[in-house]
Amino acid sequence: MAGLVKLSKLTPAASKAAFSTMTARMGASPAPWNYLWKPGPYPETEDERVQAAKKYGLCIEDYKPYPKGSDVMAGDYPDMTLVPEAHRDPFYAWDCPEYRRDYGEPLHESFDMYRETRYTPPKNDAFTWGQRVQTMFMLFGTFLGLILICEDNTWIPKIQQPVSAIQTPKAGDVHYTFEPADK
Amino acid sequence: MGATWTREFWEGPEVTPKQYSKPTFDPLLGFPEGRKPRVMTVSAEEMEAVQLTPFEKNYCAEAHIAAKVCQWKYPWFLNGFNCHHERHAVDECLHQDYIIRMKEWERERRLRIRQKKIDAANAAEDMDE
Repeated sequence: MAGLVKLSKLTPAASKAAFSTMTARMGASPAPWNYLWKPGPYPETEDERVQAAKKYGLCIEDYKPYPKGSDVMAGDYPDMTLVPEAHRDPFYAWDCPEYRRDYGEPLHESFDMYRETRYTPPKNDAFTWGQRVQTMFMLFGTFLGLILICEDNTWIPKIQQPVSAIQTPKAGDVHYTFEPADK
Repeated sequence: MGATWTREFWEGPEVTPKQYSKPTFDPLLGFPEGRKPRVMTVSAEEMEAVQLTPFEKNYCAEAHIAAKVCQWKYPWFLNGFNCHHERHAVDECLHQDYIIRMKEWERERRLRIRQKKIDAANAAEDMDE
């Protein structure tokens, strides 16, 4: 939706149709059409609200636009309650089963992000995010605490091999075997 | 496998040397006939020419060099089937080196026990006096 159809904004409204015929005659991809479905501006008067509710298929009591000036920048598009597709009843006889949506049901502003093949937020999560973070810190804290206690601690025996230092021949060092010296 | 741990548990941590620690006592203490020092049989230039890794530049360098030279006699895909004698010689040499290090560890441990007894006897003498 963003950055679309700058051409039609540059020309007067009368020649909007000319662009679509021109592109159709040249055999290019279909003319842009999604500007026709752009939501209207934020409804100020009650009359505008009634018209907007009717446009989107909602009762005036149910219609609620996004707050004016919100980051969603939806204009008069309604603020629907988000029910992700995967959370809807799989056994109900939806009109459009692959969308789990009835005919004419108004769509959420970002419904395509919450499709079954896209993101689904967790439902009935077994643990809260805070519990998971707390568990992580408890585990890591236990490991670190054990390391701090046991490392270089003379009171805790180490599982080690009974070998002394590796004997590399260096300039000043003398290493001996266990045989008597040659006389 | 937990023999060292068990000994440390019963005999105490101050008597048990740490793994890979250097000996603290005089190397010739307790050897009336002296000790034969270990000798390097190859020169540093030879080791560098054959491109030994730092781990291989120890008292077993001669065996390592023989194994490496043998390895270059054959193409790489036959390396696994040849030079068994040279590779076994390297393992034997490293095994003897490990045994020497184990003996050093045990010697350190026994000298520490001995030192502990000496100190206890001296302390008892001081108390008696």
